[in-house]
Amino acid sequence: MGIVLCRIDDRLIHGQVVEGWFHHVHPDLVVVADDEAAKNAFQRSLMEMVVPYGIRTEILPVREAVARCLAGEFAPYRGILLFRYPRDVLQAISCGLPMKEINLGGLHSAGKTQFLGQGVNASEDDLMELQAILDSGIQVEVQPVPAEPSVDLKSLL
Amino acid sequence: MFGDLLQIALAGGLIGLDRLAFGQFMISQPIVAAPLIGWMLDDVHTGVLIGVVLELFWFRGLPVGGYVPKDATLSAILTTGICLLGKPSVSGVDAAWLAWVFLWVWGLLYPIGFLDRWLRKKNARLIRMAEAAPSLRRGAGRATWTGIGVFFLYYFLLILLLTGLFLPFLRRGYAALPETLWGGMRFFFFLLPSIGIGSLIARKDLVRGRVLCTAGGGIAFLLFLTLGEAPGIALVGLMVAALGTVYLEGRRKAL
Amino acid sequence: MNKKRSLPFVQWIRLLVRSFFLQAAWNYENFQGVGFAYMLAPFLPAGADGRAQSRRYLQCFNTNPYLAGMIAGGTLRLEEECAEGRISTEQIDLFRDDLTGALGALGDSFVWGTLRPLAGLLTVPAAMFLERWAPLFFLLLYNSVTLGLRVSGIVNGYGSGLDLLQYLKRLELQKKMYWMNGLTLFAVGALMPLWVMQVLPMRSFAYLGLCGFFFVVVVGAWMGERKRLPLPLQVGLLLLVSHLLVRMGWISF
Repeated sequence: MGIVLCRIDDRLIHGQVVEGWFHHVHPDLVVVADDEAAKNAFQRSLMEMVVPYGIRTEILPVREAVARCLAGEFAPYRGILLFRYPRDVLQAISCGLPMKEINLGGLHSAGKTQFLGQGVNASEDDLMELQAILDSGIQVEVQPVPAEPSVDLKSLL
Repeated sequence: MFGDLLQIALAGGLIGLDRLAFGQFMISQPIVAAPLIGWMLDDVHTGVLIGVVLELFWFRGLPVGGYVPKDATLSAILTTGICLLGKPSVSGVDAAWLAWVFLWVWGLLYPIGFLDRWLRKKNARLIRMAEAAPSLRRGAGRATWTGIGVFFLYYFLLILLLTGLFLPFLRRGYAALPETLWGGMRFFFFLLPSIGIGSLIARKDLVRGRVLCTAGGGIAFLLFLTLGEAPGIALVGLMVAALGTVYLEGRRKAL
Repeated sequence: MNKKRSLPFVQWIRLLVRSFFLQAAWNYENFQGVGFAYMLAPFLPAGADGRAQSRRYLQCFNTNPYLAGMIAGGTLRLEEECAEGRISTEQIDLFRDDLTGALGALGDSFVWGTLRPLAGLLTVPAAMFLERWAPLFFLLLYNSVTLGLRVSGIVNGYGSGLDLLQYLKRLELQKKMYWMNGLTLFAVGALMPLWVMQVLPMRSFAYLGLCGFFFVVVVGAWMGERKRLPLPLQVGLLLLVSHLLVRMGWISF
């Protein structure tokens, strides 16, 4: 089983994920791969508090999340893997995380952005990193909540 | 008649405040609001019936985040008010009449939704009002009390106008309705809670297998209890639910 | 670890009563911002610049109304510490923004998603046996929990300030929700035969049949909800099915 859904969302764990994707995926593990959140104890406990009881929550730096994933620690679970920015995904790939497709659900970059979907506004840098993800053979689907249809990123660029 | 109407509009204005503007003690939930209106119109029994059905129906739609769901409070007050003020016969209230009124009021909730959102957008004036005052304390106080007044008037006027306008129209329409439709509408009113219950289950099916064993246990528990052959068998249902839950727990802990 | 703080009893009551007005000026621009300012304005340390205070307190504020008191209590405590020069206003605003999001998600799923349906479900059998006292039963059940949450939120929020999270963890709302959800599902199951009991004698064969049918309709509504069937379509289908069944004489109503 292992990780069944990878998602990019700069709000990490929040209502949309818990009410939307949890009911769709039925996970028993959530891994947040984010260096910033792993350092901040306040944010970490807030995020843990939003996850329903009985679902294991791991908030780790990207490098460590990938390492533990590769070590097979998450294999018995149905897991959701969350990244904050596309560049974290690139880092995870370079660390050797195998991935076929990734869900893009939330980007709130400031300044000049391109609208890719409800709540997905990508800046120049984001777009470049997303292109790099596509180039490494991973399919990127834009879909904020499971109720809405998913759109292939390639058709938007 | 007009006295009654004015009375429920005033009460409705106050009950409506509880939905958003003041308190949230849930006097505004259908299960409380409908019997209250029923009590004012001397028919608590029908009020409770409407309250229960609407409470279950409105399990769907939660005010999560900034989302504004359909107004269950208005639905309960208008349905009860129109049903009781315009009941076709003196003896009891026909469920077909309840269903007929419910359907129209529910349809009305869609345009009312636009009005509601418009009002809440307009409420941004209250921020300006608060900012304009010399001190935060005075400004926020003034804006808050204005908001209370606005929401009271909103509910008061809506209930007064809609009940007054729709009552004669719905009565005439009901009289013109072919009687062959009545049976189906009575059955429909009885089945109405299923929609709310279905959406509640859809929100609670996070853990796989849990719905089956827990709700199934509940059904078995009451089915055996009501069949009355041996109330002891009802414990079977309880045990199914308990054992199923314990089993699922054990499997999850094992991970 | 910060020292616990407390207020005089009258002040607690004032804060509680003011918290009931949180959503009086609900709007799409700053949501409960005005109500939050109204709640805290008389308690904020005097001497601060009025305009700056207005600007800070009329910002966007959106959370669950029952847990807002907790944030208000915490903010008040931090404002006092700020006046004593121990922390900065930026820290207060950050604290508030972090908490509104998380407590909003947590409180909404606890109160709106779990407690209210459960209280409603438990009131249905009460309505069958208690009749006119059922609303009172609902209000007592619901408000004993939410009022407790409001009061303890305000007291503990002010009492612990930045250490609010320890208190929140001790509440174990997720664990409570888990078991309340189990109870909800059990009550849902038990309610179906109970509801059918209202119209048919319970020992008859037809009673069992109608129970089965009601069960099927509920599962249909559940699946419809999962597939995001629009509500008008669901209601229309229900109307059609009930009409056809009665017309074909399968059931008499």
